[in-house]
Amino acid sequence: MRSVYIEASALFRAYKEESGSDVMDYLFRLMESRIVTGFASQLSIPEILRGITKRKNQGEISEHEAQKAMDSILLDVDKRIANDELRILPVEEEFMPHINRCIRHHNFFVIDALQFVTAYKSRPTVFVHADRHFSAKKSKREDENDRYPGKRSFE
Amino acid sequence: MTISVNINPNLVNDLNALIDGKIYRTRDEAVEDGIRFLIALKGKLYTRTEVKEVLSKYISVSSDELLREIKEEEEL
Repeated sequence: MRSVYIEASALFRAYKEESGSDVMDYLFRLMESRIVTGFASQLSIPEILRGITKRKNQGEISEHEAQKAMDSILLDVDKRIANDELRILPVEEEFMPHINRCIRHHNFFVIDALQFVTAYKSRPTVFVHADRHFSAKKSKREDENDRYPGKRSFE
Repeated sequence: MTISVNINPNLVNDLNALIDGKIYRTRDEAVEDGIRFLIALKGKLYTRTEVKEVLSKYISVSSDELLREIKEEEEL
């Protein structure tokens, strides 16, 4: 079965209507039909909860609505895990050298490095994200790799 | 695993069926999920479509920008 790694920025779009939400709706339908299995980092849900909580702290959304929305998201995720549509992947000890490398040589935020390495290690068919940061990152080393395509920047 | 609560047996069956495939490390974690399931089964939580409507209504910034703010905030 094909697998799709869903990064937090993409997963958030399954629960908030904006550009890309239609893609997430389609992907969720494929997961529900058992055509694909969704993968997500164990950190993706806390990231989404933090995003909603921050907006609650800023007064954009009420405490009641924020808590109810977060409970609803947790329930939806739990159901998908129970149905084996979605698998939550932990950050393994063996990921750490790669995570450190992403931070040191590619200037990743910690959470981006965790997401990227978890995705890389899960070997999904597709990596879905909506964060321009992933495609915008380029270090001197990557520039060098572009000039010498035989080399891989992430090993 | 199972959770015993004093409610309609049909709801308990649905609840146990829903959480059967999940492994919990602590009782609190299981109870918290159980309560959430029960509330949902009584129709008090949002569907995914309703969550999208609510969050889009109140939160204007895009998801990636929102997540970016959090990352940058935690770097400060």
